[in-house]
Amino acid sequence: MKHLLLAGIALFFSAGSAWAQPDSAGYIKTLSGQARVIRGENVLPAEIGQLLYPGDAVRTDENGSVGILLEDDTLLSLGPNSHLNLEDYAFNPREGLLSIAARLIKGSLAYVSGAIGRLAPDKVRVATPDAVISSYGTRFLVKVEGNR
Amino acid sequence: MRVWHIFLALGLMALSGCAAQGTRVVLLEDADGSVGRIEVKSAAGSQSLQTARQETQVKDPEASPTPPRTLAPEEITRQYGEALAALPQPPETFRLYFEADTTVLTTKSTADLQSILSAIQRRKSVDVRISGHTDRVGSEAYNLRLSLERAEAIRDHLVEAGVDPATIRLYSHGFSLPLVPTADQVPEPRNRRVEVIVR
Repeated sequence: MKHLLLAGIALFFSAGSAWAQPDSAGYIKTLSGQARVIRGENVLPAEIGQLLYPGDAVRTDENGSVGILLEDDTLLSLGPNSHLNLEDYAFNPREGLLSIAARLIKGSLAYVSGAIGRLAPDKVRVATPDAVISSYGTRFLVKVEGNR
Repeated sequence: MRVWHIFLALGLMALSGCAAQGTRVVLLEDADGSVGRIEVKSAAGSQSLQTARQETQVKDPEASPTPPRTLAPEEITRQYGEALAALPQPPETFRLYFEADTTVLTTKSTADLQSILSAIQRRKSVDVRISGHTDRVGSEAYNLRLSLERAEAIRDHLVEAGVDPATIRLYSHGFSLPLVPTADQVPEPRNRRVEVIVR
């Protein structure tokens, strides 16, 4: 019994350290219509539960929309014909690593602040081709129109 | 040939002039009804939004953000309805409490297990995070173990009720993250807890 317990603790800590530094930023939580995840050279059809990493882009088709849940509970969603680059993401409060940088290239975005917005609002940056939005722990909408 | 080019150029300019172009940003109120603040900056200037449904526009990177105007709710639905409908529900947090020095739930918390199961089903969650905590009675090592056992006890309840164990992650914090800070060796029922986040 004692050995089992120790094994359990060892397992927990080994797994725990992997979770403490998750390399994924979050995952796709809602999806309707068609959408894609672009990771380097690869284009993957979006699926519910699909993990997203810093550097990924998400694009929706004309009938598509996607909702994303990030590790710090920030919520992002894209309407149709949208293109979002998740340029940077870090959520490791213990080491003080907190960062969200997203760029909406076109289309529409809804943003709901999570823990990073509460703990370090200056580390949240949502950009478009025209402007940069700084958020102080709140929710907002962004639309980018025109051919860019 | 040259004339064609000029017409083409004029045509394109006219088109781009007519078509909507640029960035619009709208501040919304939070779920609790409060309103935060955002700052929209371009190369030419910045504009702060502090009232619900205020919008500013930036035509291009060289343009200043326009002074705020307030959008009607219907206008927001028309422009952003699909994005808003796609927003995930925020994760739900549940707190379960334990009898002193045990992995036995209090009577009230035993009843709360059902709410956790309902939330997992309703949200089709495949991401459940269980964190164990203790009060400050006993050594650090002892409490680290007890907090893990508490988290495991809740996991076992959920798995028994049909939750896929692969969707559950366990964390144990001992007494390092108290809800109510106390001196060493002080019993505090509110710290003897497991927090379950259904994402």
